[in-house]
Amino acid sequence: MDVTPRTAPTLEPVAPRPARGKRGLVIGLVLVVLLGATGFLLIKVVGDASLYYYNADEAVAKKAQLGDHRFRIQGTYVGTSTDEPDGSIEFHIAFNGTRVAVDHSGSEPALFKPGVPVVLEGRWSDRGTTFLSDRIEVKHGEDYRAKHPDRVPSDQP
Amino acid sequence: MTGTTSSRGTRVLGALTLAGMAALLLFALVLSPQDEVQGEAVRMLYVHVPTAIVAFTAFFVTVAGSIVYLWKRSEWWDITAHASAEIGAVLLGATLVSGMLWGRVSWGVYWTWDARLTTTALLFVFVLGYLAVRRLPMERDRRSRLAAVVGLLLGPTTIVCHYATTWWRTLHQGPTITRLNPEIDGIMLFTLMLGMVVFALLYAWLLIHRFRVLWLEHRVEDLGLDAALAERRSEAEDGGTLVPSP
Amino acid sequence: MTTSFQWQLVLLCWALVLAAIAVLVVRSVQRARRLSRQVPEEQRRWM
Repeated sequence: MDVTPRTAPTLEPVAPRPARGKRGLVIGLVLVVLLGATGFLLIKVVGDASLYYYNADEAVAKKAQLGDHRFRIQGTYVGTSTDEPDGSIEFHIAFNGTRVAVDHSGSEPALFKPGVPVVLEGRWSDRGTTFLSDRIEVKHGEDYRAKHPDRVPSDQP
Repeated sequence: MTGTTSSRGTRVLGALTLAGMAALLLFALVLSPQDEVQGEAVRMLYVHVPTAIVAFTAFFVTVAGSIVYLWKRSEWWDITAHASAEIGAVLLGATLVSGMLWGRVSWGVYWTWDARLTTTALLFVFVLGYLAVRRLPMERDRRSRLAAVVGLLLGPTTIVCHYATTWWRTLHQGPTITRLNPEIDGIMLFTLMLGMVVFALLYAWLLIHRFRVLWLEHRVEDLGLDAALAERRSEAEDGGTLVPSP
Repeated sequence: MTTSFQWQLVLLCWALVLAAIAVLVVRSVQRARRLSRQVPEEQRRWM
């Protein structure tokens, strides 16, 4: 140890203090937890994050490959939705000229309106005709426009 | 004044920061308009984006300080790196919290594992790790060297986090104001820019104070382990309140 | 989603951020006071 304070003369070696050992232990534990979190997040980066979603046309093209795996699909919500007796809703999304029928069970975000791009989580139905979704995320653009009280918002009929 | 880390410069800076924060609150919560799509939720933009950008800047200061420390063993840069990371951690925490609340309104979910959110979480974990290493009870030179090496990690992580929306497909939107012709309403843009200035002022103000606090910590460390022990005792006893000087 | 729900989240967001900054400031002040008592005056001239 070359702890050589320049100012203080009180420099005899001090026996290890219990407080120091305890603090080291606590911080060591914190570091282990953070290391675990790092591992988890790196797996997420390589897995989920690197291919967050397929565009609707890609998801259709890769239908055979995707099988019944869970994935996310992106497209613009077109038309209107219809309520089904079982509580789910049906609507269509479109991207790059490809339309996909969606059967969604679960809640819808407040900003889920026709014309907005959405990312859905779920899988292809067994026959591959419909995307079975259970989570809708509204994808927001990077533009901001002031809402004028005297102007009718563009997303209302 | 005794017992404080303030000087005339920091008092001026602090007054400017407080006045700026008051102005920012006025613009963000009252004077700026609702967004056509997002409604009132757009008011979180003015805290989310400035805290993120200033936090990123703070981490680059930490990286710079770490490099200079490893190169020249400069105590000044060692403390600057540490102080900057402390403030960066608080600001990035603010970014995460504001982002989650904004996401709840805008996307419909608090959290999702897209590249931007995941790399931001990773950056937050790294800076917490850096600060934990800074508190390790070991000899200061060794601890500072170890921390500086960990601090270097913040550089590439910050860059990846910043470009995540460009390099990958994300739910998170891309940049607005770095584009040539930002599609943003005038008063919204002004409020956003005011937010940048105010949080930059806040960073500078806090950086000076945290630098001085850490500098005092180094001096106490220099004074020997007996003094440090007394400090810990008084900390345990009074829980951070004033006690008469011995 | 109602406007009031949006406002709740907006205000919560600002309150949390400002509170976090306030905590950092208060802790810094307390720590500076405590440490200053142990450090000779000539080592803490900030000008």
